Amino acid sequence: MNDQDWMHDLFDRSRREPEPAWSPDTRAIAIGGRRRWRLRAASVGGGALGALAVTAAVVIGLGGFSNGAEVKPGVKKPRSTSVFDYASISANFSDGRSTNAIPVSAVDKMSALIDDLDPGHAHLREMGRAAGIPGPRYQMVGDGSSAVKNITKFIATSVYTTDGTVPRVGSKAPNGSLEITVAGDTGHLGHNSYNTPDVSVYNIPCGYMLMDAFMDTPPTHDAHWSKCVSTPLPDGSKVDSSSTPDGQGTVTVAIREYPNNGGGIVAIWTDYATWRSTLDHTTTLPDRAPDPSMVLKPNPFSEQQLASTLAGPEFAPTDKGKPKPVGSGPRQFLKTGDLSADAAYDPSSSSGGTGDLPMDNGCDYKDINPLAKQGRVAAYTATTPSGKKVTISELEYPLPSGTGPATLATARSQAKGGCDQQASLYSKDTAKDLPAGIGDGAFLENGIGTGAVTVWMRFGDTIVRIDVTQNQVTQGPSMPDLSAPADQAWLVNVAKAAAGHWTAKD
Amino acid sequence: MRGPDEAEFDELVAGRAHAMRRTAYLMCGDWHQAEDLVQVAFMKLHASWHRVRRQEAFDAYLRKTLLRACIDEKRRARWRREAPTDILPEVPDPAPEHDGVRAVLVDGLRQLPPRQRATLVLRYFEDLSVEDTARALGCSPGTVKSQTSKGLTTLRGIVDPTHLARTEEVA
Repeated sequence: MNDQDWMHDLFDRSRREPEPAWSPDTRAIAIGGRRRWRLRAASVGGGALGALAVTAAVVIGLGGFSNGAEVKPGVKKPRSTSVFDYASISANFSDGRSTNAIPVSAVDKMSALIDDLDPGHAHLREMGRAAGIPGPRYQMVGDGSSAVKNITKFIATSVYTTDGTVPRVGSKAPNGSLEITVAGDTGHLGHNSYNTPDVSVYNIPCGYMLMDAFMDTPPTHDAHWSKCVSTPLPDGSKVDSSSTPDGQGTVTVAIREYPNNGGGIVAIWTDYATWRSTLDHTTTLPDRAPDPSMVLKPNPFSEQQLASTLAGPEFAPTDKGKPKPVGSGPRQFLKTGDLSADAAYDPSSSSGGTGDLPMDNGCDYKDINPLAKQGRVAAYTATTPSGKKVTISELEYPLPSGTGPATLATARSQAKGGCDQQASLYSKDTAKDLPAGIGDGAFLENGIGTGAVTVWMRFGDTIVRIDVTQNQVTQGPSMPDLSAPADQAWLVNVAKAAAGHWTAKD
Repeated sequence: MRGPDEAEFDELVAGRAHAMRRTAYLMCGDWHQAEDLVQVAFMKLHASWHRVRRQEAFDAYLRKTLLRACIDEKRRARWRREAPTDILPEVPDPAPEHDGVRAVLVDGLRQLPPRQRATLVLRYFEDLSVEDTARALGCSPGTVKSQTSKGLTTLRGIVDPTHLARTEEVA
């Protein structure tokens, strides 16, 4: 068993062990939260005013929305838009920046599944409508649009009703829950590449870690998934399915996974009322089988039906073409021309920001936590003069006022060796000063222990770090060997270029 | 509007709290501390509700806050450790530990540097991608990969296979 499988196995087995009972104290949380809010509003001038202004903006925004969608001019219309009428849609964002844009292909697929399973639209409903909650107005865009590049998956949830009447929240009438997930890559689909594929074990049907779906919906712990049924399709994709009893109810999962890390579509069908769809959490308990009176009889959707539906041509992979990493990083950061002729900026790895500044030497961990504010991150791929393919990450660390010089000194000290931890040879780390004139001080760390060659630079109370690493899968986890004179000169030039952009603010 | 809608917030807490406690427990190795850390993370979310809600980034916010709290707690614990006293304090008998795989796992994780531990928990327990883990920890994807590799190698060296086999027999 390789290390990754071993680690997954350990975590999976630990999940199945009993845990001490606990209920979060929501009252204490609310009191503590309000206290924190008051303290912040009182201590930050203008904070309360800002909050009021934002609240007003949100109210105005909601007032302008109605349930539905519009197609961006020039974008091909979807075949069906049922998902906007019969499901609540949510999206996961890789960087926290939300948008109301949705790719046409996701609309097509989610709508097609609703249309296929409920052709007369007599049963599947959106719960929000019962409560009179207006949904956002979505703008449908092309699959390659930059507006959706930070969206990792869309989830559409519908309640299945016997007579088309949307149940009240808390209703214990028999109903079911359909959750459709469309993900842009295999990882966000939930497929654990380290697990043996197509096998249902523990609470992992067909090797898919559907954590979002099963985190709080039974069966969390006591699932007995059926043998995974896997059907390869001519286009290179496959459909997997499995189901598990839960008391008198059944949970069924069907997944169509596209080839080449192309993502796919997941359907999770529960033939009983869940708190996610109609019940609230006070009327049901996690890990408890559903009340038999809330189970639909007969079960309207079988595992075979869900799987054969997803095998249909309407769910074929969309050739969206992965956006090529091009262009340049943020202002003040490296430009691709500084790195190599074939260098590319990788926006998909450049979102988010720095949280704290770790300075690990294996035995005396030091960090700056918190930073004065979150710093920016940019990632590039390039080829060094000696022909090594490397990944370059430029990270910005805004430090508390007046701490810049001492922090760089600490980083330099930490970079000069440390203590070994099994395979991490921190004792072999070395630091070398870079020529004067690069920022307010700069040095090079050969991080045998960290697996990166790192350029450290300081600009007042900001530290900029450039990590040069190699592809772990193809080249191994060790530090890239940049000892060739040409590569050493390249590192100095990269440092000078980074300092130049920083100082010039270009 | 000063805080979140009560029902909406309660639903969020009910939906996330237990999973967060598991993550916090793997980070700190103490159920009570894990519960406190989860409560603190939700308090911070409550206080920042409208800012976070605008971004619809509850999970990312909670995960970051929880990890930060775990690392901060570890740092504070270092200061508290081995404080000299004149009188030996009475220490209650430790609660009997469940001698299962979780105990073995947590014991091993506690011997890793905090960022390696966080990387393994995020990658293999929370099943985050390399990029999402990098965002949560504020480091580069390359660092995540190297920390993952080192953490796995180290942990596999720490965890005693015979001990692990015994947990299987018990189960």
